[in-house]
Amino acid sequence: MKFAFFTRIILIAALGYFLFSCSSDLDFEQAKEFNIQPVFTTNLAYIKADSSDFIAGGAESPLLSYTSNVDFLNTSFVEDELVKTEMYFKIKNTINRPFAFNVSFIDALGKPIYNLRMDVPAATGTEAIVEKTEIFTAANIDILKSTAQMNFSILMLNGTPITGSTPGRIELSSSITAYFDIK
Amino acid sequence: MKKTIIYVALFFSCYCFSQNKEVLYNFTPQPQSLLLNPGADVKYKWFFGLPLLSGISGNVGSTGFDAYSLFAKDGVDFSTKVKNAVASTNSNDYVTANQQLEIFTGGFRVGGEESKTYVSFGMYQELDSFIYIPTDLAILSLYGNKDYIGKSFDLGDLSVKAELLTVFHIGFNKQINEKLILGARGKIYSSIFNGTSTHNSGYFVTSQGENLLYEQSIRSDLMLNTSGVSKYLDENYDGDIANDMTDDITQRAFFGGNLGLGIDLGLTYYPKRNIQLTASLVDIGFINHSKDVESFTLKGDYNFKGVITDFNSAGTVGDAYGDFKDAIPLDTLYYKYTTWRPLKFYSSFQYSFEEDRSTECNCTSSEDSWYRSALGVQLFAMSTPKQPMLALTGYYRRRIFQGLQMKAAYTVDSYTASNIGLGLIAKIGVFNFYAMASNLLAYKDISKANALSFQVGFNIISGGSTK
Repeated sequence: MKFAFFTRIILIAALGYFLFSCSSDLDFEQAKEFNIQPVFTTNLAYIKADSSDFIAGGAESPLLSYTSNVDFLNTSFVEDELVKTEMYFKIKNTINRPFAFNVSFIDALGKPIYNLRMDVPAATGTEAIVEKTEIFTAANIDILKSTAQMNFSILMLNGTPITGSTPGRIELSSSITAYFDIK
Repeated sequence: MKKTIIYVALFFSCYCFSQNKEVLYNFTPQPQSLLLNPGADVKYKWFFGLPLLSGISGNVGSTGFDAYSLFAKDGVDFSTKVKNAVASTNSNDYVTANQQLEIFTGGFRVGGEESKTYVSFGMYQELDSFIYIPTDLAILSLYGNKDYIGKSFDLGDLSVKAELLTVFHIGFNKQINEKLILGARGKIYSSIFNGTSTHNSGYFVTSQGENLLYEQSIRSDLMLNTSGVSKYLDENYDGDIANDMTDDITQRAFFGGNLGLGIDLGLTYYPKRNIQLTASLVDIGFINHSKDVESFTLKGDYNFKGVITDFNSAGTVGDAYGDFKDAIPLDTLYYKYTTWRPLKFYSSFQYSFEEDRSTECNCTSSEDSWYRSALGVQLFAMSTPKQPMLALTGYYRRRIFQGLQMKAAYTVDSYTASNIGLGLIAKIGVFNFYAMASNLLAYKDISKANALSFQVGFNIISGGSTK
């Protein structure tokens, strides 16, 4: 009986061994180094103007200008985690007239802090396409971070006169790609 | 966001439990096997468990990855490991948590010496959770959408539920005739905390556009129901979490929480003396959440065209972010909801051999111990928010000597195909101790285990069965 009792103890101890067995060294502290770099891309603006939009009261009215709030650029998330941004602009012109496309970055005080100008040649039979990629890296990303508004303007330059029935349009598509580094 | 991801990852790696108790099931010398089949062939005059020590169980499991792959001290960048873990999973991978602690339990035979009707009762605490890996959302958070133009990120990947509850139960077990034993157990659930977000759908997709550079749209039908946690979710909450939780748990554990009802059903059938069939359904039940409920929804559609899209309409420029918030508002609602308990199904077929009444001793006291050994197979299934979880077990049971029973099991399930489990039940006089563990091969390095489970406990049993 004594023997049997000891056998039981040994077996139970053996099972205990399984219940408290080993594990590789794990380092949970490394979770603190967790760091991700997601890259999000989205439309920034789409602007379309027909040649008739540049006619007012029968005469040429060469400037169209619009301003939009982009206050999402100065949220704390963007402030802390945005490391690089690419802005891509693509302008298609089918009007027989050159244009200057202007994108201006305006801070919270209403002061322009950065300007992008894209000259678009007149369309001569085929559409004129201008593409531009503006990259903001660590060196100048603060421009974006302090931008509160963006102004988009289209200035019609001198050239062949147009009327309300002149065919064609000028069209801007643009996207923004934001590189985050989240620690 | 980063913090959330870390907490989720830690939760996955520390708190991963599955629910199959393949070693304990139909291991009838142990009264706790009645919790898995109220119709189990269990015999006793009476028993009671040592309070808080009679039944302690937990199971760890993850179908996607293990703790080692995330936290090994191998010099590999942690973020890389997270990315690898995400890459190795899909949205049908899950981690599930189940832990039980018996607060008290007991049982007695009803009627005289010849009676074969048994009552058992008790209270236990249970933690239950089920989390599918939200693979698409993880990819979106880790990489963004730039390299995934054209991919539709499925918001339905988000499927999570967690519950802390106590269960009061009383079960009846009756041998109807020589061949058939039936059992049923009624349960009252008292839910302390609940969070359920399992009926989600929607997508987020970015594709190449024509005029716009991208067609970008989000459709969201997300809902999270909670009960018992609203004060912790309040952003103005500044109490002492540990103290408040202790108060909540003690108040709600004894019928103070959201209540529910359930039933377990089971049977054991002997077509021949040495052939046994069993089947049971555990936790056919629901909980009605009406106290301290708070639900959150994000429902709506939105096509994002850009910051400026409306150049020609009188110069007004829409507030894109405002439009988005209006299109898919975060609403907080307060209404009752019902959750169903995870339903478990067990069944087994057992062939017994090595009849020992005539060989070992002539002790008439253990009239039930006809066979020393048995071989069997078991099937386990459990309902989950997606496909049911399944496991198939083959086992060998043996009475090593009077008072010591052993069961060895080999299980194939979603976690692993090499799950070897072992259980021992020792009974010295009226003192009973049991210890069972699964996936023993993994114990040589538990950090690399996809699944682990154990059950241990102490009881006092009078006139227990050795069958």
